[in-house]
Amino acid sequence: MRYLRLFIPALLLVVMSSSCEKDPEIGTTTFTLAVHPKIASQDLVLGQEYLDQESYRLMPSTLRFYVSHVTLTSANGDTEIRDIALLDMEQVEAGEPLTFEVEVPAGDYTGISFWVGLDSLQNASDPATFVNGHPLSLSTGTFWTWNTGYRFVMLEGYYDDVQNTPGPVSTSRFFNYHTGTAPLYKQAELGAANVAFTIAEGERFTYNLDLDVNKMFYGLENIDRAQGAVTHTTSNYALAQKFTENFVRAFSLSAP
Amino acid sequence: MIKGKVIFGSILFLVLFSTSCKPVEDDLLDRPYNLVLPAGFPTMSIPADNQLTEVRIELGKMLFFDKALSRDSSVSCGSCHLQSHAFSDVVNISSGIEGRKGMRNSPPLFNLGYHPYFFFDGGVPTLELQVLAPVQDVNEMDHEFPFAVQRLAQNPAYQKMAQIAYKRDFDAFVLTRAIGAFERTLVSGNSTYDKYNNGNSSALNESAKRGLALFTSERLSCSGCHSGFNFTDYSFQNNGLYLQYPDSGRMRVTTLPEDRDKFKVPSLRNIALTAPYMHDGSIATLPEVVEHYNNGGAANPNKDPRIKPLTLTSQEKSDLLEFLYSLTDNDFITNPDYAP
Repeated sequence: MRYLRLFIPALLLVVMSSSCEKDPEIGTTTFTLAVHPKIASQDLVLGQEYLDQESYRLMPSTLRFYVSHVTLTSANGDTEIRDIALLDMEQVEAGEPLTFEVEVPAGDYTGISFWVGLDSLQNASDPATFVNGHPLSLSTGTFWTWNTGYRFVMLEGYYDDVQNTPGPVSTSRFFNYHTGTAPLYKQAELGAANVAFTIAEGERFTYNLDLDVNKMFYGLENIDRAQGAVTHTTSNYALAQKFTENFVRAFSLSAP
Repeated sequence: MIKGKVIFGSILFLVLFSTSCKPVEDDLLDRPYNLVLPAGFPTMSIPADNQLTEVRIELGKMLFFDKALSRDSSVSCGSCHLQSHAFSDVVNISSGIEGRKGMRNSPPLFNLGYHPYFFFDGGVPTLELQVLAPVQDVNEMDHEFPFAVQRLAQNPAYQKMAQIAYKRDFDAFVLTRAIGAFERTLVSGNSTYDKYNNGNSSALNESAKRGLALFTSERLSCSGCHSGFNFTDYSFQNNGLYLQYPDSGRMRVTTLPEDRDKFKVPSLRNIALTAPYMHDGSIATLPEVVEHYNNGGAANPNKDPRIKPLTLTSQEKSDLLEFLYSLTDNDFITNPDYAP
């Protein structure tokens, strides 16, 4: 078991580094999953203030989450991507999407699925065994040092608890949603965002999804930030669970 | 053994600082380290990627005592883990950088290679991963680990030792492995009790022998949790310290209500050296600890049923304390191999 725990991260590292070096194989093409963070129809920019759908002012400062086991479904068999991605708004220019680029076979696909977070093996990785820049390394700031595992989703920022304030947002009220642990490893609920697509040989294809911060708070269950602004998962598990259920339902197909 | 290590350390120092202009010869210095275990101790499992070698241990020791690990270079591991106190601290809550306070007592460090998990809530499964926590904890060293690594990597001696010991540049892997290797060598098993247990029947005085009998008796049930060669079964228990705890203990990791207010059972080895006691250092002296158990503790809903009033006589308390004092290993706290 101890060897397995070391072997899996090492294998992941090899897979990830080798996938960057290889030329595309014959019959494959470049597939990009592009996630566009939004608040309703507005592009989300970290450090910028918004009124949410209930007119409460907020200013997100961090949005970072893992995507794993991306699978393209097809009548000829599924294509599961073994690489994982840490989609981090601090790593892209304002207004740019968060992208995960991989090589996949060209062809007709009936849909897509992916998980938010890391599976149990990935989550048991030792971050010190990965080089800086790797999604599982210590440089990402996602590893919980007091507990085993990684934060799957990190959303942080500031908020006002009174509607329609003129701004600037109060920096004395912060929200901090850090979710992780095996029970909160969830598949994204894409619903109508899961559509068929065709990837022509030799062409690049981008699957565009919006990720709406509004839906993280007003989703399956509403989250009142004034009543529950902070969770490190185990510190307020019910809140972490609620946030996770909303988060995995916050994706929608981008407008063409 | 000790003399050998001193000579080895001197040679290592001379070589490191006399070869600064030469390429490092990877196989030049490092040798496997033979960890000598006390009689009666089981074999220690050592990770395949961190087998003990002399340079790994020496590097780990240097890092353990290096204040550059903390963000403002004011505290090292050794600041809160004092060898004279079995690598625990003398205050209830140790001070991190800028005098910051956490919420738990600094635990003693010995026989760590036998622990199945670390910290009072057992949240971390390996000695190597454990290194990350105090470095990043805002109340301890408050240093982003990659920045700590970056700073330490500027030290030419560390770079050379990393190459010799781990065949790689100094990085997070080297930092966690080296400190883990050093900590694994902190072995304590030469107390008066151990001498008695290994056949010297006169090592314990009569009072301590009576205390040992009490300790292992069904009536007191101390050895129900403080069992085995390391005087702990590593379980999580509530001992009735409070009715309501500000720290949820094991539940912080598992979220299970049945784990609320439970903490990892500590080893009782060197217990006379590790005051103050309990997970929060709230009991100042060992006689007060005995008194706590004698009273049966507070009625916490998760209290272990074995914690109940004991009606100990003065003589019994004295005998029990005499036995606990016999668990002190003076060789351990004076061993120069562990000193900076």
